[in-house]
Amino acid sequence: MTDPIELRRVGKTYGKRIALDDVSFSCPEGTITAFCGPNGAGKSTALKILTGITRADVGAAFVNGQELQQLSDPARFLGCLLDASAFHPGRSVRETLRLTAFTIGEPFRRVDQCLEMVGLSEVAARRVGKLSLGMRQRLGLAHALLGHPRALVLDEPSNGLDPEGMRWLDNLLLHFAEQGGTVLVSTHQLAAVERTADRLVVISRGRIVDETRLDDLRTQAGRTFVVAEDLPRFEQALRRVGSHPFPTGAGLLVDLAPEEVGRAARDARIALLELRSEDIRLDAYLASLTATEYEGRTA
Amino acid sequence: MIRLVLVEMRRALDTRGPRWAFAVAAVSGVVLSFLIGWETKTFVAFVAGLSVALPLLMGLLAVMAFTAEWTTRAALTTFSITPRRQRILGARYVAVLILGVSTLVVIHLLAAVVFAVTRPTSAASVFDIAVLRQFWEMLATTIAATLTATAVAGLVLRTAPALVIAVFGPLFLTIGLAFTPALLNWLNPYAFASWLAAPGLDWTIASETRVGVGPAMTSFVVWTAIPLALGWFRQLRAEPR
Repeated sequence: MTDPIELRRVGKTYGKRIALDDVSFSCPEGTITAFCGPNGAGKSTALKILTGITRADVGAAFVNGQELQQLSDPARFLGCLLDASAFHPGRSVRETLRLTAFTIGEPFRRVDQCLEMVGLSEVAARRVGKLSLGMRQRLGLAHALLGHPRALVLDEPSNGLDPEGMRWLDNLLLHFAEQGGTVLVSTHQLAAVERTADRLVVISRGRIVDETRLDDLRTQAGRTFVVAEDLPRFEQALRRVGSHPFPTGAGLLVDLAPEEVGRAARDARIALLELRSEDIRLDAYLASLTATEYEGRTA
Repeated sequence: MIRLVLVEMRRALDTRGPRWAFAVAAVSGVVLSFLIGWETKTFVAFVAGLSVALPLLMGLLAVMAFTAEWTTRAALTTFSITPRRQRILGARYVAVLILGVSTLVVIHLLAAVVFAVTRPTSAASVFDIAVLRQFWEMLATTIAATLTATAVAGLVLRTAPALVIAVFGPLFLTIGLAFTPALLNWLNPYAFASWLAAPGLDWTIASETRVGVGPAMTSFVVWTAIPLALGWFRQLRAEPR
């Protein structure tokens, strides 16, 4: 059985800049996949290719096993929120949703259901341009849910939401996934990722650098904090054995078990000053995977 | 496809700007008739002055209706729910054409009412057969102007430059080529509209008022077909930002 969402060997360049390089991953049914990475890493480009807004130079994106353009009724399969500001500011909230409902063949009562669901019923007559960013995000979510889709693709949906709104969003996504829906959500909100996501896909410089289950990450042993005498040289030594060390405090956070770190130190003939096991921290973990992203940008 | 055309017609009219634009176009058409045809006794003469303003009015409406999606970034949302863009684009061209023609009909109906009220003794001339002939000429102008404006708007995707090129471009070109009549005859932006109003089979210019197939097709290709094809291709590939 094919996964509801899949990117297969997707590549995209803008001029000389490589936005995506051989990107492949999929999102199984009934799961929430967090799509993380630094700004400019290629998250939005990947989501735009998935939703048919941008054409891939090579490879393809699939929804329910087919390219979105090939689906006879795409709104039934995929709902998306790519940019909460991409609505006509002069159109009312209700009319914005009614236009889409009309386009995809949904009755207008579905509009009222979705407005109720996202808590925008009271501002249904207000023009979109008069909404706060948080309200526009809610409108975007209502728009994504209109066609009863089996999968959702959301690009930073928590932008502009207050803490209460973020909890509401968590519940919405969890409920959607419990019903068998599939969610791919790009976000920088790591706390929300830890609360809701089943899987994590990490992108850096246009390449997928990790794809893992959050549970595996939580139970994964071998996160180690280490302080060594010659830290830069030890960092290089660790990279040579396939680790992704991340500088933190006076030492390094290493994605290896303490004994493996010890062996690496022995082989590199570097004295260790401190060595201890560390709990998984998502921010440090992501940073260790994408540490080179900003190199050269500040020069 | 019919549903998409209805969606696009609704989209073109469901915000204040376009609604005002269509209303102003309709009212200004009537006011223009009233001013130009102040002393006229027949309805045909009363609305004849409209033909001068029609390319401007219809071009303006078509450009505004066509570029709103791109200038407000709403195209991103529209294309995400209908990934097969050619369906949306086709529906949009048809919708804008229908709206242009509807505006012309509304202008005529309003003008007929104004004429009948202000000249009750000549009201019967509203039903003169000559009115139909003149309406057809204006319809041809409306269709040609709307097609050109939507083609240019689809190519440029920005309201201001599209207006300058589609609405004022033909005017400036006509003035600019005034001293080279032979060239003007073949590149005249209004040649297709003139031919459509009174179709004939002569290849070149037949008379002062009749245009041949050659200049008409040249005008259509240069001012409508080429921008339409390029605009279509551009919109299929463009990435809304």
